[in-house]
Amino acid sequence: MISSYVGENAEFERQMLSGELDVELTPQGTLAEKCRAAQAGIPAFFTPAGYGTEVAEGKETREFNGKMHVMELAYKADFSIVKAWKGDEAGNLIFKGTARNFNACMAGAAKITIAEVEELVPVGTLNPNEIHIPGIMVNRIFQGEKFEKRIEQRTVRQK
Amino acid sequence: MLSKEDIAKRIAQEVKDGYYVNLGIGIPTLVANYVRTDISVEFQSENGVLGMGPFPFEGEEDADIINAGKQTITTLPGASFFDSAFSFGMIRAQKVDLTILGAMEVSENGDIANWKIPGKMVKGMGGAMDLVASAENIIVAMMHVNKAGESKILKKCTLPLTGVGCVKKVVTELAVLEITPKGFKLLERAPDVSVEDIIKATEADLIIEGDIPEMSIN
Repeated sequence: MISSYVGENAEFERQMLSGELDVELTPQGTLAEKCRAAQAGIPAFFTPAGYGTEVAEGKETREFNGKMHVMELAYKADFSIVKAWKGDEAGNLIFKGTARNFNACMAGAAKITIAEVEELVPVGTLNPNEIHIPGIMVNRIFQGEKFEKRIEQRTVRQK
Repeated sequence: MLSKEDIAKRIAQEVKDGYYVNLGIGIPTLVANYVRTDISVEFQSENGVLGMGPFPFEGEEDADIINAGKQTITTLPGASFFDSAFSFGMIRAQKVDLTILGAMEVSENGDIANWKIPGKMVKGMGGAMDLVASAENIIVAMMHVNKAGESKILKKCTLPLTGVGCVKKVVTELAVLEITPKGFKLLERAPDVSVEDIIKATEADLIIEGDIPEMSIN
Protein backbone atom coordinates (compact mmCIF):
# COMPACT_ATOMS: atom_id res chain seq x y z
CA MET A 1 0.00 0.00 0.00
CA ILE A 2 1.45 3.33 -1.06
CA SER A 3 -0.07 6.36 0.55
CA SER A 4 0.75 9.83 1.78
CA TYR A 5 -1.68 10.41 4.62
CA VAL A 6 -3.64 7.81 6.56
CA GLY A 7 -4.57 9.90 9.61
CA GLU A 8 -8.11 9.67 10.95
CA ASN A 9 -8.22 6.05 9.81
CA ALA A 10 -7.65 4.25 13.11
CA GLU A 11 -7.98 0.72 11.68
CA PHE A 12 -5.44 1.47 8.96
CA GLU A 13 -3.01 2.94 11.50
CA ARG A 14 -3.41 -0.14 13.70
CA GLN A 15 -2.73 -2.50 10.78
CA MET A 16 0.30 -0.48 9.79
CA LEU A 17 1.81 -0.26 13.29
CA SER A 18 1.23 -3.98 13.93
CA GLY A 19 2.88 -4.86 10.61
CA GLU A 20 -0.23 -6.53 9.13
CA LEU A 21 -0.08 -4.09 6.27
CA ASP A 22 3.06 -3.15 4.39
CA VAL A 23 2.84 0.61 3.89
CA GLU A 24 5.09 2.93 1.97
CA LEU A 25 4.46 6.54 2.98
CA THR A 26 5.32 9.06 0.27
CA PRO A 27 5.12 12.86 0.31
CA GLN A 28 1.87 13.91 -1.33
CA GLY A 29 3.47 16.02 -4.05
CA THR A 30 5.93 13.25 -4.84
CA LEU A 31 3.06 10.76 -5.03
CA ALA A 32 1.19 13.06 -7.42
CA GLU A 33 4.28 13.58 -9.55
CA LYS A 34 5.08 9.81 -9.64
CA CYS A 35 1.59 9.38 -11.14
CA ARG A 36 2.05 12.30 -13.51
CA ALA A 37 5.44 10.93 -14.61
CA ALA A 38 3.84 7.56 -15.37
CA GLN A 39 1.09 9.36 -17.28
CA ALA A 40 3.65 11.41 -19.21
CA GLY A 41 6.21 8.67 -19.97
CA ILE A 42 8.92 10.14 -17.76
CA PRO A 43 10.86 7.39 -15.92
CA ALA A 44 12.14 9.51 -13.02
CA PHE A 45 12.44 13.05 -11.71
CA PHE A 46 14.17 15.04 -8.98
CA THR A 47 12.29 16.78 -6.17
CA PRO A 48 13.50 18.54 -3.01
CA ALA A 49 10.69 16.92 -0.98
CA GLY A 50 11.98 14.52 1.64
CA TYR A 51 15.66 15.42 1.31
CA GLY A 52 17.41 14.85 4.64
CA THR A 53 14.55 12.68 5.93
CA GLU A 54 13.99 8.91 6.08
CA VAL A 55 12.00 9.17 2.83
CA ALA A 56 15.26 9.84 0.96
CA GLU A 57 17.13 6.87 2.47
CA GLY A 58 18.72 4.72 -0.25
CA LYS A 59 17.73 7.10 -3.03
CA GLU A 60 20.01 9.00 -5.38
CA THR A 61 20.36 12.66 -4.43
CA ARG A 62 21.73 15.50 -6.51
CA GLU A 63 22.26 19.23 -6.22
CA PHE A 64 20.54 21.56 -8.67
CA ASN A 65 20.82 25.36 -8.39
CA GLY A 66 22.37 25.08 -4.95
CA LYS A 67 19.58 22.91 -3.53
CA MET A 68 19.55 19.17 -2.81
CA HIS A 69 17.01 16.96 -4.58
CA VAL A 70 15.94 13.31 -4.35
CA MET A 71 15.42 11.10 -7.39
CA GLU A 72 11.98 9.51 -7.51
CA LEU A 73 10.75 6.92 -10.04
CA ALA A 74 7.48 6.93 -11.96
CA TYR A 75 4.91 4.39 -10.79
CA LYS A 76 4.45 1.24 -12.85
CA ALA A 77 0.90 0.16 -12.14
CA ASP A 78 -1.34 -2.39 -13.83
CA PHE A 79 -4.63 -0.66 -13.11
CA SER A 80 -5.65 2.89 -12.50
CA ILE A 81 -9.15 3.37 -11.09
CA VAL A 82 -10.50 6.91 -11.27
CA LYS A 83 -13.77 8.68 -10.66
CA ALA A 84 -15.02 11.63 -12.73
CA TRP A 85 -18.09 13.85 -12.82
CA LYS A 86 -18.90 13.53 -16.51
CA GLY A 87 -17.51 11.32 -19.22
CA ASP A 88 -18.37 10.42 -22.79
CA GLU A 89 -18.23 7.16 -24.69
CA ALA A 90 -14.82 8.16 -26.11
CA GLY A 91 -13.44 8.20 -22.55
CA ASN A 92 -13.11 11.98 -22.25
CA LEU A 93 -13.39 13.06 -18.61
CA ILE A 94 -14.47 16.15 -16.71
CA PHE A 95 -13.99 16.40 -12.95
CA LYS A 96 -15.85 18.52 -10.44
CA GLY A 97 -14.27 20.83 -7.84
CA THR A 98 -11.48 19.41 -5.73
CA ALA A 99 -12.45 15.86 -6.77
CA ARG A 100 -10.02 16.42 -9.65
CA ASN A 101 -7.16 15.92 -7.11
CA PHE A 102 -5.53 12.53 -7.80
CA ASN A 103 -8.14 11.37 -10.29
CA ALA A 104 -6.69 13.55 -13.04
CA CYS A 105 -3.12 12.48 -12.13
CA MET A 106 -3.88 8.77 -12.13
CA ALA A 107 -5.92 8.61 -15.35
CA GLY A 108 -3.54 7.01 -17.85
CA ALA A 109 -0.85 6.37 -15.23
CA ALA A 110 -1.26 2.57 -15.54
CA LYS A 111 -1.54 -0.09 -18.23
CA ILE A 112 -5.34 -0.06 -17.94
CA THR A 113 -7.38 2.88 -16.70
CA ILE A 114 -10.93 2.34 -15.52
CA ALA A 115 -13.11 5.41 -15.08
CA GLU A 116 -16.38 5.56 -13.19
CA VAL A 117 -18.46 8.63 -14.03
CA GLU A 118 -21.58 10.15 -12.51
CA GLU A 119 -22.97 10.89 -15.93
CA LEU A 120 -22.00 9.07 -19.14
CA VAL A 121 -22.97 10.98 -22.28
CA PRO A 122 -22.75 10.22 -26.04
CA VAL A 123 -19.71 11.32 -28.04
CA GLY A 124 -20.03 14.94 -29.14
CA THR A 125 -21.98 16.08 -26.09
CA LEU A 126 -19.04 17.44 -24.09
CA ASN A 127 -17.35 20.67 -25.13
CA PRO A 128 -13.74 19.84 -26.18
CA ASN A 129 -12.56 23.03 -24.46
CA GLU A 130 -13.74 21.69 -21.14
CA ILE A 131 -12.20 18.19 -21.19
CA HIS A 132 -9.73 17.66 -18.34
CA ILE A 133 -8.49 14.22 -19.43
CA PRO A 134 -8.71 13.12 -23.08
CA GLY A 135 -10.11 9.70 -23.84
CA ILE A 136 -6.76 8.32 -24.99
CA MET A 137 -5.89 7.93 -21.28
CA VAL A 138 -9.00 5.89 -20.48
CA ASN A 139 -9.54 2.22 -21.40
CA ARG A 140 -12.84 1.41 -19.67
CA ILE A 141 -15.68 3.72 -18.67
CA PHE A 142 -19.00 3.19 -16.93
CA GLN A 143 -21.69 5.20 -15.19
CA GLY A 144 -21.97 4.37 -11.51
CA GLU A 145 -25.36 3.43 -10.17
CA LYS A 146 -25.53 5.22 -6.89
CA PHE A 147 -23.53 8.18 -5.64
CA GLU A 148 -23.78 8.63 -1.94
CA LYS A 149 -21.29 11.41 -1.33
CA ARG A 150 -20.06 11.15 2.20
CA ILE A 151 -18.39 14.12 3.86
CA GLU A 152 -15.55 13.29 6.25
CA GLN A 153 -15.27 16.71 7.92
CA ARG A 154 -18.53 18.62 7.66
CA THR A 155 -17.49 22.17 8.54
CA VAL A 156 -20.07 24.95 8.33
CA ARG A 157 -20.68 28.49 9.57
CA GLN A 158 -23.90 29.97 10.91
CA LYS A 159 -26.00 32.35 8.83
CA MET B 1 0.19 33.48 27.51
CA LEU B 2 -1.62 33.31 24.17
CA SER B 3 -4.63 31.20 23.26
CA LYS B 4 -4.58 29.29 19.96
CA GLU B 5 -6.70 32.09 18.46
CA ASP B 6 -4.14 34.65 19.63
CA ILE B 7 -1.30 32.68 18.02
CA ALA B 8 -3.32 32.73 14.78
CA LYS B 9 -3.91 36.49 15.18
CA ARG B 10 -0.19 37.15 15.62
CA ILE B 11 0.70 35.05 12.56
CA ALA B 12 -2.00 36.80 10.51
CA GLN B 13 0.11 39.96 10.86
CA GLU B 14 2.77 38.24 8.71
CA VAL B 15 0.36 37.89 5.78
CA LYS B 16 0.94 40.69 3.26
CA ASP B 17 -1.08 42.14 0.39
CA GLY B 18 -0.92 40.01 -2.75
CA TYR B 19 0.28 36.87 -0.97
CA TYR B 20 -0.70 33.34 -1.94
CA VAL B 21 -0.80 31.41 1.34
CA ASN B 22 -0.96 27.71 2.23
CA LEU B 23 -2.36 26.88 5.67
CA GLY B 24 -1.84 23.59 7.46
CA ILE B 25 -4.33 21.82 9.74
CA GLY B 26 -4.95 23.09 13.29
CA ILE B 27 -3.89 26.57 14.48
CA PRO B 28 -2.77 27.55 10.92
CA THR B 29 -6.33 27.10 9.62
CA LEU B 30 -7.48 29.77 12.12
CA VAL B 31 -5.11 32.33 10.57
CA ALA B 32 -7.54 32.91 7.67
CA ASN B 33 -10.07 34.33 10.16
CA TYR B 34 -7.74 37.14 11.24
CA VAL B 35 -6.10 38.39 8.04
CA ARG B 36 -6.74 42.10 7.46
CA THR B 37 -9.77 42.63 5.25
CA ASP B 38 -8.26 45.60 3.40
CA ILE B 39 -5.61 43.44 1.68
CA SER B 40 -5.95 40.88 -1.08
CA VAL B 41 -4.80 37.37 -0.15
CA GLU B 42 -5.51 34.04 -1.84
CA PHE B 43 -5.48 30.81 0.12
CA GLN B 44 -4.20 27.67 -1.57
CA SER B 45 -5.05 24.15 -0.47
CA GLU B 46 -2.69 21.54 -1.80
CA ASN B 47 -5.35 19.05 -2.84
CA GLY B 48 -6.10 21.46 -5.69
CA VAL B 49 -7.80 24.81 -5.08
CA LEU B 50 -6.77 28.45 -5.06
CA GLY B 51 -9.09 31.13 -3.75
CA MET B 52 -10.53 29.24 -0.80
CA GLY B 53 -13.26 31.03 1.12
CA PRO B 54 -14.86 30.43 4.52
CA PHE B 55 -16.77 27.32 5.52
CA PRO B 56 -20.15 27.00 3.76
CA PHE B 57 -23.43 27.89 5.42
CA GLU B 58 -25.26 24.92 6.85
CA GLY B 59 -27.04 23.04 4.08
CA GLU B 60 -24.73 24.41 1.37
CA GLU B 61 -21.87 21.92 1.86
CA ASP B 62 -20.59 20.25 -1.30
CA ALA B 63 -18.76 16.92 -0.91
CA ASP B 64 -16.71 17.80 -4.02
CA ILE B 65 -15.41 21.11 -2.65
CA ILE B 66 -13.07 20.42 0.26
CA ASN B 67 -9.64 21.50 1.52
CA ALA B 68 -6.58 19.34 2.23
CA GLY B 69 -7.92 18.69 5.73
CA LYS B 70 -11.02 17.13 4.10
CA GLN B 71 -13.20 19.96 5.47
CA THR B 72 -16.04 21.36 3.38
CA ILE B 73 -15.15 24.84 2.11
CA THR B 74 -16.39 27.52 -0.28
CA THR B 75 -14.55 29.32 -3.07
CA LEU B 76 -14.30 33.08 -3.59
CA PRO B 77 -14.67 34.92 -6.93
CA GLY B 78 -11.52 34.26 -8.97
CA ALA B 79 -10.98 30.79 -7.50
CA SER B 80 -9.66 27.86 -9.54
CA PHE B 81 -9.46 24.09 -9.26
CA PHE B 82 -6.59 21.92 -10.52
CA ASP B 83 -5.20 18.44 -10.00
CA SER B 84 -2.78 17.56 -7.20
CA ALA B 85 0.29 17.25 -9.46
CA PHE B 86 -0.32 20.78 -10.74
CA SER B 87 -0.94 21.95 -7.18
CA PHE B 88 2.38 20.65 -5.90
CA GLY B 89 3.97 22.02 -9.06
CA MET B 90 3.04 25.55 -8.01
CA ILE B 91 4.34 24.81 -4.51
CA ARG B 92 7.65 23.42 -5.82
CA ALA B 93 8.00 26.35 -8.23
CA GLN B 94 7.63 28.71 -5.23
CA LYS B 95 4.54 30.46 -6.52
CA VAL B 96 3.07 30.20 -3.01
CA ASP B 97 4.49 33.03 -0.88
CA LEU B 98 3.88 31.80 2.64
CA THR B 99 3.36 28.41 4.27
CA ILE B 100 2.04 28.17 7.81
CA LEU B 101 2.03 24.78 9.48
CA GLY B 102 2.08 23.03 12.83
CA ALA B 103 4.98 21.02 14.27
CA MET B 104 5.92 18.58 17.01
CA GLU B 105 9.52 19.84 17.13
CA VAL B 106 11.62 22.59 15.56
CA SER B 107 15.40 22.80 15.91
CA GLU B 108 17.73 25.79 15.94
CA ASN B 109 18.92 25.17 12.39
CA GLY B 110 15.33 25.23 11.09
CA ASP B 111 14.69 21.47 10.94
CA ILE B 112 11.07 20.47 11.52
CA ALA B 113 9.47 17.20 12.68
CA ASN B 114 5.71 16.82 12.45
CA TRP B 115 4.67 13.56 10.83
CA LYS B 116 5.64 10.56 12.89
CA ILE B 117 6.27 9.29 16.41
CA PRO B 118 7.96 5.91 15.85
CA GLY B 119 5.84 3.02 17.15
CA LYS B 120 3.06 5.33 18.35
CA MET B 121 1.66 7.65 15.76
CA VAL B 122 1.97 7.45 12.02
CA LYS B 123 -0.49 9.62 10.17
CA GLY B 124 1.79 10.18 7.22
CA MET B 125 3.41 13.34 6.00
CA GLY B 126 0.69 14.35 3.55
CA GLY B 127 1.90 17.44 1.72
CA ALA B 128 4.09 18.72 4.56
CA MET B 129 7.40 17.39 3.18
CA ASP B 130 6.76 18.96 -0.21
CA LEU B 131 5.71 22.27 1.34
CA VAL B 132 8.67 22.61 3.70
CA ALA B 133 11.20 21.53 1.07
CA SER B 134 10.02 24.12 -1.42
CA ALA B 135 8.48 27.11 0.34
CA GLU B 136 10.75 30.10 0.91
CA ASN B 137 8.82 31.51 3.83
CA ILE B 138 7.72 28.98 6.44
CA ILE B 139 6.14 29.93 9.75
CA VAL B 140 5.44 27.28 12.38
CA ALA B 141 2.45 27.70 14.69
CA MET B 142 2.63 25.47 17.73
CA MET B 143 2.58 25.22 21.50
CA HIS B 144 5.96 25.87 23.11
CA VAL B 145 5.99 22.64 25.13
CA ASN B 146 4.39 19.22 24.58
CA LYS B 147 1.78 17.55 26.79
CA ALA B 148 4.56 16.16 29.00
CA GLY B 149 5.83 19.70 29.56
CA GLU B 150 8.94 19.23 27.41
CA SER B 151 10.23 21.95 25.12
CA LYS B 152 9.41 21.56 21.42
CA ILE B 153 12.04 24.21 20.60
CA LEU B 154 15.22 22.14 20.52
CA LYS B 155 18.92 22.19 19.73
CA LYS B 156 18.28 19.09 17.62
CA CYS B 157 15.02 17.32 16.73
CA THR B 158 14.53 13.87 18.25
CA LEU B 159 11.63 12.75 16.02
CA PRO B 160 11.91 11.75 12.34
CA LEU B 161 12.34 14.92 10.28
CA THR B 162 9.87 16.39 7.83
CA GLY B 163 12.39 18.82 6.38
CA VAL B 164 15.85 20.25 7.04
CA GLY B 165 16.88 23.87 7.53
CA CYS B 166 13.60 25.29 6.29
CA VAL B 167 11.66 26.99 9.11
CA LYS B 168 12.06 30.79 9.27
CA LYS B 169 9.86 31.74 12.19
CA VAL B 170 8.02 30.08 15.09
CA VAL B 171 5.05 31.55 16.95
CA THR B 172 4.02 29.88 20.21
CA GLU B 173 1.79 30.82 23.15
CA LEU B 174 4.90 32.32 24.77
CA ALA B 175 7.04 33.88 22.08
CA VAL B 176 7.88 34.80 18.49
CA LEU B 177 11.21 33.28 17.48
CA GLU B 178 13.21 33.82 14.33
CA ILE B 179 15.63 31.19 13.05
CA THR B 180 18.90 32.85 12.18
CA PRO B 181 22.18 31.26 10.99
CA LYS B 182 23.23 31.41 14.68
CA GLY B 183 20.07 29.81 16.05
CA PHE B 184 16.79 30.93 17.64
CA LYS B 185 16.48 34.67 18.15
CA LEU B 186 13.79 35.87 20.54
CA LEU B 187 11.81 38.61 18.79
CA GLU B 188 8.72 39.09 20.94
CA ARG B 189 7.21 37.76 24.13
CA ALA B 190 3.52 37.11 24.84
CA PRO B 191 1.69 39.53 27.16
CA ASP B 192 2.49 38.81 30.82
CA VAL B 193 5.25 36.37 29.90
CA SER B 194 8.81 37.26 30.92
CA VAL B 195 12.01 36.53 29.04
CA GLU B 196 12.95 34.23 31.94
CA ASP B 197 9.71 32.26 31.50
CA ILE B 198 10.60 31.73 27.84
CA ILE B 199 14.18 30.68 28.60
CA LYS B 200 12.87 28.21 31.19
CA ALA B 201 10.43 26.64 28.68
CA THR B 202 13.03 26.37 25.90
CA GLU B 203 15.64 23.63 25.54
CA ALA B 204 17.54 25.40 22.76
CA ASP B 205 19.71 28.44 23.40
CA LEU B 206 18.11 31.80 22.65
CA ILE B 207 19.74 34.88 21.19
CA ILE B 208 18.39 37.78 23.23
CA GLU B 209 19.34 41.29 22.18
CA GLY B 210 18.18 44.29 24.22
CA ASP B 211 14.65 44.65 25.51
CA ILE B 212 12.24 42.12 24.07
CA PRO B 213 8.97 43.80 23.11
CA GLU B 214 5.56 42.41 23.97
CA MET B 215 3.51 41.05 21.05
CA SER B 216 0.64 43.17 19.89
CA ILE B 217 -2.41 41.05 19.29
CA ASN B 218 -5.51 42.39 17.58
